[in-house]
Amino acid sequence: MKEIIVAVAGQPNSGKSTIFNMLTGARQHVANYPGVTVEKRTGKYSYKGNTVTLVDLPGTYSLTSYSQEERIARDFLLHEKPAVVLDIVDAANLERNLYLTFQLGEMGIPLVVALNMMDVAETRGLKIDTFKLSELLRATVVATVGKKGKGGNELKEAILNTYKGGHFRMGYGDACESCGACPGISREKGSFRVDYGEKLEPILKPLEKMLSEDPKISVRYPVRWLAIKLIENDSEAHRLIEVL
Amino acid sequence: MEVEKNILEHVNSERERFFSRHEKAPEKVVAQKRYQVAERIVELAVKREKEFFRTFTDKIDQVVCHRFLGPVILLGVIYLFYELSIVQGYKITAYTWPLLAVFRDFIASVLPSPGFVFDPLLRTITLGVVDGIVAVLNYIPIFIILFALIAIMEDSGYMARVAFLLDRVFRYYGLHGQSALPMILSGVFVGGCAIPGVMACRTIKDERAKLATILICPLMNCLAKIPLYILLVGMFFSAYKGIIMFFISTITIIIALAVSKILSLTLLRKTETAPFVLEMPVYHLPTVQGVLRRCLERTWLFVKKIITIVVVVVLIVYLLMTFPGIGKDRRVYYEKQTNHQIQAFFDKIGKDNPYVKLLEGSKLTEFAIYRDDYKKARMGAGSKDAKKAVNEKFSERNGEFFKIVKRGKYKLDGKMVKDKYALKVNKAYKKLNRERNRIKRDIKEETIIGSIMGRIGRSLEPVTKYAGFNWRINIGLISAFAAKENSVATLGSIYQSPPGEEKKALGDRMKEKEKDWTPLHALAIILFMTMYPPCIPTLLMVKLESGSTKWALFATFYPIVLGSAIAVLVFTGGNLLGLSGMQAMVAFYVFALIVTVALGLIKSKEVSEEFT
Amino acid sequence: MTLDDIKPGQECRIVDVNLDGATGQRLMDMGFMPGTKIKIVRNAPLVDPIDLVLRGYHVSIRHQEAKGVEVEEL
Repeated sequence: MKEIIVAVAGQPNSGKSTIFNMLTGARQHVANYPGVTVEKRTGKYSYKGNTVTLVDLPGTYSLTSYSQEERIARDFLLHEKPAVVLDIVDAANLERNLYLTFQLGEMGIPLVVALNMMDVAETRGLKIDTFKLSELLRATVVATVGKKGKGGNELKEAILNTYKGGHFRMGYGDACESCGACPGISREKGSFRVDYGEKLEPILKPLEKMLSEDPKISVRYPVRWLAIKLIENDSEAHRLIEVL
Repeated sequence: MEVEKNILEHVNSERERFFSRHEKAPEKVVAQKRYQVAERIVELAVKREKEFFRTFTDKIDQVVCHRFLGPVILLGVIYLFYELSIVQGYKITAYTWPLLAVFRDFIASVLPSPGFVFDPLLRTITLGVVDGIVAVLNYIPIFIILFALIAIMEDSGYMARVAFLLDRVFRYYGLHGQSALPMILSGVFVGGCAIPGVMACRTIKDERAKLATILICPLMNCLAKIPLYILLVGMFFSAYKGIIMFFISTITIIIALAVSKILSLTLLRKTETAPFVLEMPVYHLPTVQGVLRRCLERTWLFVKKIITIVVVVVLIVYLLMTFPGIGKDRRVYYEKQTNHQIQAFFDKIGKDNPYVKLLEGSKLTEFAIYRDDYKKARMGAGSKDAKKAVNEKFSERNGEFFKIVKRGKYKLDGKMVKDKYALKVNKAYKKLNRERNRIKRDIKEETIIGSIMGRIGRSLEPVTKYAGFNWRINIGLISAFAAKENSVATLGSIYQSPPGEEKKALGDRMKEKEKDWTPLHALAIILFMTMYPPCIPTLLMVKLESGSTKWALFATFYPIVLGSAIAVLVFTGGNLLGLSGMQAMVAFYVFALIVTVALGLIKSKEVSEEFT
Repeated sequence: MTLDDIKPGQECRIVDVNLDGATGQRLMDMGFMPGTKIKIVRNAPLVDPIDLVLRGYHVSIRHQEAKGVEVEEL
């Protein structure tokens, strides 16, 4: 029986900590990320004979290298390579939250999306089609209300299933097998990725090819992500190449 | 190596080409595309059934962020914070303190027992460390309340509004809207505590403003600085109490803002700052479970870390204030004095006193400890029943000693008797005990003066005289390093009263000894105290929250330099210009105000564009 | 015309964001894009910073940053 490491990501005010508490209960441990004063919270739960360890990443709007918290979140995903990323999304602020979801997906780790605070979204007159969203993102989307403890079991199921490779993986595009978490979604093959358009894709594609041909880079880092970051002139991404 | 270089060169040339072709940075297009895709997905998956206005949150914000009401509400919230955590928290410590005292007494009971005059070394050192730990643990109720309040502020969404309301004021000095709370907790209104203040800095998202706030929090007026202020104000400014307290509480903010600005222009210039783009989230009702969990966790994390460090630091400070200790000759001298007093005691009670046998040799020490314990227990016992229980306990512990401490009045075979021998011993011992305490105090004073710290205090006199400090004040100020409330206690033992005049207040005793002192002396000491380096627990907090020992050391040394400079300026400058204490105070106040306002007008680099 | 010229209660549309580095990136991350609609809600008690709404949520920025956002009035 293996320990499954799951990183919990999300934007500030997305209700990340309530989902974290809902999943792990009292089994939590708090320390600091090495060398910095940012809190690192970890928690555990058992599900169907598996031990799942959740690591709470700092809440960030994006994954650039401009702030300490974003660098911490990014470095964890890049170097610790968690098995699954649980992305907590504020259902009432979907547009802005998806901006982070895309970036998480680009890092090549299978994604589960918790569509949190569904009740708030509903009172605002937003009707979200989670199946449609799931299909579009090619990732399991689970509706949750962290405060009321709704959606916890569905999340655990989706995480386990995604871990087993049985579901959509952003950037991978394996076919979905039935897990019960999101019945009725299409099982077509293919992966979701942001199309950066005619201005950028002609630059990104050759760069991706260049990076994947380098044996050291391609085993260590997701090449699509690295290509985008390099073109964005991200200082940390440049350093990743320099220190090789 | 070649390949990697090629990649970076390729990237750079592609970026340049992109720039010249599209006249914008690729990262702009990347972000734009992401939002376009997000918009498209929302369009496909979300149906807007009715138009929504953020009524609930907007209505609250109309009041909470209002031009006039906003600041008033904020003041109320800040007052509530201060009242609940600092004032009520301190009240709770009155209930938790006995628990800590039990712990201390337990440690004391397993250590080698004290001597008549000289205590065993193991006992003094261990108790010194235990006292240090207990002093920190004593703050726990305050921490818990404070952490809970911070968690509520964060979870509810009000924290963002605080920053919104206050950002303009603080930005001039390299601080952030969220710097207000830490500064107030540290004691802007005279009487806070820098430990929770520094702790509250963790909510500041801007790294440079956070560090600047952490470093100026200890300049605020914590509770432990107050006794010295009161002592000196009472001595020299009793007619102007209100004015000088206003001076003390406002001059610290003025200086702290100047310090913060200078730091952010110099040492912190390269520290990362975050752009002020702050989401104002929808208000939420915080959950009890979430708040409780967070505040208990943070408290535990703090306690766990602090205990390990506090042991080492307290030990070092303690040794500096104790070693090398009094010499052999002096020890013999004090032993002789003690023996002399003991002899006088036995002479007084007479050979035929039946209690003589019970008190001979080491039994006298045993009795001394018994009596000390008894007095302490009686003092702790409030109610009649508690007093009765104490009596029973001690009567059981040693029946004969009990007769003495009861002044010869006790029950024998159910009848009250008056034992004149016991009464005589009691009276004679009272005198002996007074002498014993005097000798103990003398030894303590001599130890401090002869200790490494004491020597530093003496050797500094040629320099500190420009600030008006003689060696006695130096030692008092240095001893405050372990904890500021020490300053008055140490001064108390340095300015001892001559025998028979114990009732004289410390202020009068000081005045008697320092006949040449003027209000300028007092003002210089007060100003040095306002800039006093943080106490050990605060330093640990600075280390934890800034994440580096370097900043903790800096937080120790810059206030010493600054405080000395200010004290010298006021004392020597005031003397040269022939100013009175009040004149010097006003002159310095105006000077500091001008400097600070001028500094506020200097523009600092708002955002560091790059860092490595 | 830039965002800091807009009065509370007025609406505008972003034309371009002329800021580089961390500030520019952060504004883009928060959804300040050409074409995005912005409504200024209020000023802070001392005029700066400002509270505005875009994409359905409130955000507060300083005048200095607002100067870098080019807008057109609606």
